[in-house]
Amino acid sequence: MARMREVARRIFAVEYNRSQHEDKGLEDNAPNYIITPLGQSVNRVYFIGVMMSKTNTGTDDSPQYRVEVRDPTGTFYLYAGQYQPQALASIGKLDPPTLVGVVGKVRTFVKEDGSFYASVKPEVVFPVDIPQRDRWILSTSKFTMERLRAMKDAMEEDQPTVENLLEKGHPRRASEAAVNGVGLYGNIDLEPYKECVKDALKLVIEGGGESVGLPVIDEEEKEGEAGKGPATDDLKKMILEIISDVSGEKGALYRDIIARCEKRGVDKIQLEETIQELLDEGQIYEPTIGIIKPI
Amino acid sequence: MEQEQIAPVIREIKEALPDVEEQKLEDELERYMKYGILPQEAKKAIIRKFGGTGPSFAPLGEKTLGELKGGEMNIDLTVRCLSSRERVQNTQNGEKTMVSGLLADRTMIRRFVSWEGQFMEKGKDYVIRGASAKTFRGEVEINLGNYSKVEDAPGDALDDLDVSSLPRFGNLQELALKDIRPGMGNIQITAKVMNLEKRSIDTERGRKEIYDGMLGDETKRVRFTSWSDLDLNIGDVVTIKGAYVKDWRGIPQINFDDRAQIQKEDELDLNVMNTPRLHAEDLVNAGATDVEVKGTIIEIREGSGLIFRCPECNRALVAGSCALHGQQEGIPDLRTKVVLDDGTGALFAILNTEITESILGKEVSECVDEFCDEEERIVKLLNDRLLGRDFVMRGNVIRDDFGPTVLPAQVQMDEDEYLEEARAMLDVMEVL
Repeated sequence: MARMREVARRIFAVEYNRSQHEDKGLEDNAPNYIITPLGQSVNRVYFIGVMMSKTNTGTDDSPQYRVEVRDPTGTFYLYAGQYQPQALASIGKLDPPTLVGVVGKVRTFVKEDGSFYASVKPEVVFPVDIPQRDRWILSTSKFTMERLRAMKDAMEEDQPTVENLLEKGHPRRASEAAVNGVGLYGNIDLEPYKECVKDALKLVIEGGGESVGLPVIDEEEKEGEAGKGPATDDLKKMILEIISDVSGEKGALYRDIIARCEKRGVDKIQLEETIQELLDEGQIYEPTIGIIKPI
Repeated sequence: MEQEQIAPVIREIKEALPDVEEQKLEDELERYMKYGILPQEAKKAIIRKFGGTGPSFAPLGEKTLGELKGGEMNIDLTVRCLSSRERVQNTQNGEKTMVSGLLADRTMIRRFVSWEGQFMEKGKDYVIRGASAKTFRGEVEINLGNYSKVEDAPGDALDDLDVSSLPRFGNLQELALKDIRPGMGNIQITAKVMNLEKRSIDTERGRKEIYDGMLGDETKRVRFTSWSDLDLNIGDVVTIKGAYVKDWRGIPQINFDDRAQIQKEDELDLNVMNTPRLHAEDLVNAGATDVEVKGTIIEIREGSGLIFRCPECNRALVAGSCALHGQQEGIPDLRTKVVLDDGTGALFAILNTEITESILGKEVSECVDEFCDEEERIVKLLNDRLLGRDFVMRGNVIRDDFGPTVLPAQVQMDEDEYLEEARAMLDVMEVL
């Protein structure tokens, strides 16, 4: 029997990006899954968001794109190369900022300490409109809510089982996910995920971002975080420290820097802005895309 | 390694391999240990190497199928083979022939798998020595391995066996219609007879009247065939115990005869929808007749758009050529092959000429005129109109080795208002 096509899971970026486990399977060519904190195993994803930037890290003749797509909860990082010809062609024709739908496969990058980052290998990328985005948010919220509810019940039990959760009325897919999630991540804080689903739903209800569908989180986060986060100079100092900390011979991987910053409560937007400032000030440079090196 | 550590292990090996010289076993164990293999691990390998079945596999003697609980090793059985099927599998060590099927004795019917290809012929009686019983998907299953021997049974061993008096194969499983799968052996369902038709067929034993129809519950509708007159009427709600499930293009079909127990449920009224709507996850493992599924089209597959069909066999031509009939003057047609995905499962769907015409707003002949040498423009148009949009498809879902395929009779874009739903969900989220 041929291997059947994998379903495209509807996942918000916040849940996708916080995944810290994967399941590579035992057989040769077994599909690769990441397991999200809410326990969903994901091999293929479908999401809609704003294409914020695209960077050609290849050549004009044989392009390779690094693309950032923001949904209302965070950013998906896409890498498209010669093995994704269809996606590559579509990305080439799109100009950020614009609202896009993306179908892609999970891609993981494992660091030496075992932690890893999930990005996306896009298969199909296409322009979409606001109602399409709204419908995606709705169904993604539905699936996320299902998992949140099952997780809540699973975390209240010593030994959660699929049968118990089914009995409580959870759908099988959410029950299996929750048991999986609690097993791998233990009892986690569900609040951030709930807040993200609410933000996403509010975007649908209140409308907004009509032109390109900019995520609501944008302004709220900036306002909210400004007070909480370290002052800009401290932030710069901290990030410089982190960069030299995670630097190897060839410099520091951008993803490593992101991870370290996340642990210390700096979000990606703050980080990106600070890195840009440091670049402008000439304190660091970017020998190749994705690598930062102190001067 | 000290002698006192080796000695007990040698004793255990000796128990499993009474016919092998002790010195030989010691030499063998030493060879393994030189490679740093622990004695307990080496023990298993050595026993296997000399064809033993291991200390815990002491012969359990003659058993009946009915008394097996799963986990028994080295048992002897006297059985009749009811069915057997050979299958060639590709493994890391090349091709391997496996045989599987059903066995019966006076107590019951069980499935068997012969991993080393020991063949048994349907209808013949055998004595199997050195089999094991394992639990697979909740059913006890007979496994034949390297050390199992199959012999013809003495002529009168199972003379009085009447297979038709045995319960159907497998534990009775009570299931909703959406959960039944082709190949299931012994199921219990509660459903409404939605329609019913008497039919005459010719069998090996002459003409037979059978009853065809549709059963429905709250989850799905499934075609059925009753091989006996069981006094069913349209509108009856019945519980059927001991039905089995056949496969028609990946769509499960319920079958039963007078060995099934039928009970009318006069009190019960099922809310049977005319065209039930299913999630893709419920169609991934079993096809369906006339259902609705709602999902997003996330890919337009190759072979979509303007195609040319062979005038002989109707197959799509590839580069003007039919796989069977060679170069042909093709008949133009339109079709769209898509992936419909609802987040629970992925379905292929093939949209027919009429549906593709309505998506394009053009008929086949207009497309031929307009896009004659630029067929990719039609594909572009299909991509623009379909990708990332939600559709409700209604029709049959067939299933093959590559998965399920929807063959919709109707395709409707989902344009329902969603704001209310979003508000309702936000309210729920506030109290979650």
